[in-house]
Amino acid sequence: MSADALGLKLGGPGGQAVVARLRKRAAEERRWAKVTLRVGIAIVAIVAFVCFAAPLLGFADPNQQNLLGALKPPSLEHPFGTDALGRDILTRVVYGGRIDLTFAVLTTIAAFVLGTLVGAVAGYRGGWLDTFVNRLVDTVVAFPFIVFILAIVTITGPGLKGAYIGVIAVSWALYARMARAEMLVEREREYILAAKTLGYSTRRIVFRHALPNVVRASIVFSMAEIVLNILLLSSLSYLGLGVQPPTPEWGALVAEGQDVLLTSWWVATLPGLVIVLVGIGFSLIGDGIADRFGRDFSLSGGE
Amino acid sequence: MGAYLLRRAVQAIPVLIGISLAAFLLIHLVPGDPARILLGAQATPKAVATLHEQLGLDRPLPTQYLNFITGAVHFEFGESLSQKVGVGKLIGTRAEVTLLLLMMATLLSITIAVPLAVAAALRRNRPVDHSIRLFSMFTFAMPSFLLGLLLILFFSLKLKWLPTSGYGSGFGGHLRALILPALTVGLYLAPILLRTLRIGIIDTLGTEYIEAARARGLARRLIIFKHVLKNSVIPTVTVLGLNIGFLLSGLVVIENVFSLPGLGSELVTAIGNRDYPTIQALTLVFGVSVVAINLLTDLLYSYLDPRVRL
Amino acid sequence: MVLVLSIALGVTVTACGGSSSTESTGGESAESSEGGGASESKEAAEGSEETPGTPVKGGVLTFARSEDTSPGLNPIGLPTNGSIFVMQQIFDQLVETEGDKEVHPGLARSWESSKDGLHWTFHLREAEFSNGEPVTAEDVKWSIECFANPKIDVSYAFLAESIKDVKIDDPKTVTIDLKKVDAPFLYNLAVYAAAIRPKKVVEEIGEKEFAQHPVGSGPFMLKQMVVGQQTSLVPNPHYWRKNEPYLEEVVFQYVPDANTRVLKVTSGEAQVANEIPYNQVEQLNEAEGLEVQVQDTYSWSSVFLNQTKPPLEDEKIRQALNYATPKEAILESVFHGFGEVSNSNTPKLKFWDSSVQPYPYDLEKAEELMAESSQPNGFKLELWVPGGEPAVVQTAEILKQEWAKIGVNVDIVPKETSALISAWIEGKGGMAATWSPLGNSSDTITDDEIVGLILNPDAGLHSNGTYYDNPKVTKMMTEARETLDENERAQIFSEIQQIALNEAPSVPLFFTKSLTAVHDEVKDFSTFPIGWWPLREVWMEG
Repeated sequence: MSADALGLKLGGPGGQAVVARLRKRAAEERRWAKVTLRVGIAIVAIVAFVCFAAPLLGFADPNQQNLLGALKPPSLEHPFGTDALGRDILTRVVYGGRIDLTFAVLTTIAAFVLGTLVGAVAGYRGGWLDTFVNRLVDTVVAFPFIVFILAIVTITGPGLKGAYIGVIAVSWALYARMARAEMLVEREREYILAAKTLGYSTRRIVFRHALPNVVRASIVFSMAEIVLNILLLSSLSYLGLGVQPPTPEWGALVAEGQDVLLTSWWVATLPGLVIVLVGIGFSLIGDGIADRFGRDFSLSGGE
Repeated sequence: MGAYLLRRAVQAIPVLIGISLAAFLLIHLVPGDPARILLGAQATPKAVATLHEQLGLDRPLPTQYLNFITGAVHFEFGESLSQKVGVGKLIGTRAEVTLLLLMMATLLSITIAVPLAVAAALRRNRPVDHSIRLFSMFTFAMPSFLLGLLLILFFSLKLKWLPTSGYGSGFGGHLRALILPALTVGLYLAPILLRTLRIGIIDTLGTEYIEAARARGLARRLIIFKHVLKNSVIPTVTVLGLNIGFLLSGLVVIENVFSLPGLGSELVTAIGNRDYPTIQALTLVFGVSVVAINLLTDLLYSYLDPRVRL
Repeated sequence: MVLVLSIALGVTVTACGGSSSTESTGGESAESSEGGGASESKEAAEGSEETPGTPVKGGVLTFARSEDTSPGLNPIGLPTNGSIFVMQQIFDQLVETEGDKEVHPGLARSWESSKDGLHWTFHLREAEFSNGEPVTAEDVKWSIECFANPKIDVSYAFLAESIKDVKIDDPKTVTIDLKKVDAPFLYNLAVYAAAIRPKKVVEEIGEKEFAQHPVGSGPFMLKQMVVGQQTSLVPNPHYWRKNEPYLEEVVFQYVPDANTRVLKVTSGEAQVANEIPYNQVEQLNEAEGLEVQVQDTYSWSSVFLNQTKPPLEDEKIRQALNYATPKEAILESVFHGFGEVSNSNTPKLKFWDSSVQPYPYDLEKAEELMAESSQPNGFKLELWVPGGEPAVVQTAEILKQEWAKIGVNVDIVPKETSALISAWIEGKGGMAATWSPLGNSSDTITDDEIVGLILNPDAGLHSNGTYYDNPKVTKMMTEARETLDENERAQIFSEIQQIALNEAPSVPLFFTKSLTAVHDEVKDFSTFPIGWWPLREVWMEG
């Protein structure tokens, strides 16, 4: 809802003042959206840079043990302290970030693309395909995720393979649901109808014209999902189904550290705070995008 | 309305069949033999075979699945392999814990989210707004077991206000014992609500009729409570409904940290023991709950917003 | 229960620091013809360290416990350690296991055996079940027959396979005839599955229902059992030791998370908590009003080596791995010193020989062996570990670093416990070494059961999945079982211990300790090495 449109409709006495106020607010909003987005991107970019450029920045082997220097609190030499085997926690966090960021981003993108395509096509085509996709989405959403992921991880064995499969196999459903709901609205829009009368193929209409409008809500949601996917790894580690030791992975670091939380707080807390920091970064990006697009989004998409 | 409910019920059937089939296939694909687990290391192959027969695990898979489905239709889920009690009874006692926890968590998250969302929306882009948003992003991104442990450390060990874990005894005891776990879940859920609510309030505040009401000089507080909140309930309910499936899964970790005898911890135990009947029944119960809650959400939706027709 | 599913390195247990290997008390010796008459007077002195003060009645003991009583409390069936240790409070056997390595009189006040060791006569004491009914010879006969029937007692009948039949001589005397000489027979009668149950009650309500409503002649009886939550016991008013138990109630709370257990006992919500993490002992000891008891167990930890997976069929390589393992360092850093370096493939049971030398940490020797082996340039090897056990994972990480020094490149593979056990038993996958996949604690105090399990290829599990097969050792086991003289038996087991250590079907690491936090007001609490606690002796101060 733009301020101008509102002002026109309001009209009458006091209308001018309202319009002025709304204009100012909208400008302010845009400015903050920009700030939010930039701060978010900055946080994620810096963390990602440090993680991926770790060897260049002088971080040594993350698995180097030093049994005599175990569980040392943060110091200049070890800014995040050391863990039960005397490994430098900061180094482990930095190397772990590669795994977590890659995992979170890749799974989210895969689920996003897959889900949006399926949902958009189903929503556009309607008919049996739509019904089928709809029931499938319902089934996936209603299936207890944890049973699924525990089963998959147990079947595939250690490492991230199971987590990759499990997350993508489940997360696409919500994107599909959102895309479908949006598509139901979009397909009645004039430009689509116009494209149809012009004789464009379904594929072209869906991909070229409708999709860009459909994905906005999904983009915002995907930022939250990235955070959830990182958290999922930590839950899996807590349940003993995490990555292969001694691979440094954020969730595993936190899960290992909770064992000594009462005596050595830093082992779990500092990696935990890094997860939180990255989580805030992605949330800010999501908020920024949402504010920019207008707040035409929700996590919903139900019927 | 009646026709709508019927349609939804019919739609749920393939979903439930899908869930039960997926659950059945998945757990049978997972390596590990329940008989071997129950018997232990010293068991001879003969003893394992005997137990297979006793447990009905020697029958072909399709037969086992059919038995399960036929039973499920009659609300008969058989007997837990590892716990030697009826699965129905087992789930019944544990469902109480999980249900109570979920209700408290939802209530807590609303209690946290609503005032914060109002405050944030009214002071949009001011420091209050920023700090509230940061706070919510903070608790959202925190691994739940870490958050839970930190809460225990602070409220139970330091302040000695609340029990560290367990389910307590008596209804009052249950409620007290559930405060910290519910808060852990609530602090995860609240940010999601807060976000939706804040934007909902901002949106509603910007709409014509509110502007008109303001132009007429209606008190701000009144506007907020009468119009804005009412309109924001809809997205909130939707978000809650959508997250319920995820929440049920998240409980696995929370219940473990707080030693709560709920459905989540039972699920992990059952998976570990390859307790097929229990896993199947639990999966189905979770599935039915999600379907039911989504239906409720939609009904509530149409009740709150007459524009939505069922 | 040999198979402890919660495989922790230190799933442990215990009491009274009994480290001497061949004490001889009680009346279990085959020659002894008047049986346990003498040992009856000793019973009160066994077990826990003596605390000054006179026991008083009353008090509720809340015990934060890592395990649940979930499968119910029927000694016949498929119990876990979670239920077995509680059953020991509810039921009596004819003979009992306590803190030492002898058997003690239980429902049998004394016993004697024939010269050939084939006929065992038990004299029953006056005792009643918790429902007020007397314990009869008929109950005993029926219970032992259940114990020995593999159709009913699916899991433990193998311990009773030598039983031919059970005869009632008179209302207070029962004789058990054996098919063949079975030296550990009396010890096996102390296993929980040989508990004496009231025939009438079980036949009336059925085995299944009995698991929910157990009736025994032990010190306590079940008050309430909420699966997954808590189990509470109250004194059996008909218990035959007239002044025991002292406690008014025992509440076992199921608290699976180790941190939560520690918090529970720290906050005073529980007076006892078991399986304290190694790294929190020191901090707990600093807290006011409680102490962590460190006691021996019949549990141990090793890395088992599957000899069918090349190159582990090469004895030199297995020995090299043993030499390349810095046990002391692991003990210090991961276990905070709680444990003992092991010199055996099996735990410290009755015939454990302390004089056998463990493998020292000797990299040079290890390198030498590697050079002479089939893989002088080293090799790659998977090490399976149960996921979610920090101590196990950390140990594996240290081994990875250490074994790399002799060219052994370890790939640590965490697996979900049940999946790990199944795959390991089947000898499957690309795996070669694993962590005590079968959880390790003995059900009896003699070595026969465990040694058979770990070193006998013909037992169900191919020597615990190592496929260790030395016909000489297998023959010696049978010989030990058929030898009545305890000194000779000790000699045989010592030899087995030495041979098996040399041939290295595993890399033995530690004899583990049980770590139990106990509040000061709880008196005479202890943990037997076999796992349970003599709760009948426990009392609370003021």
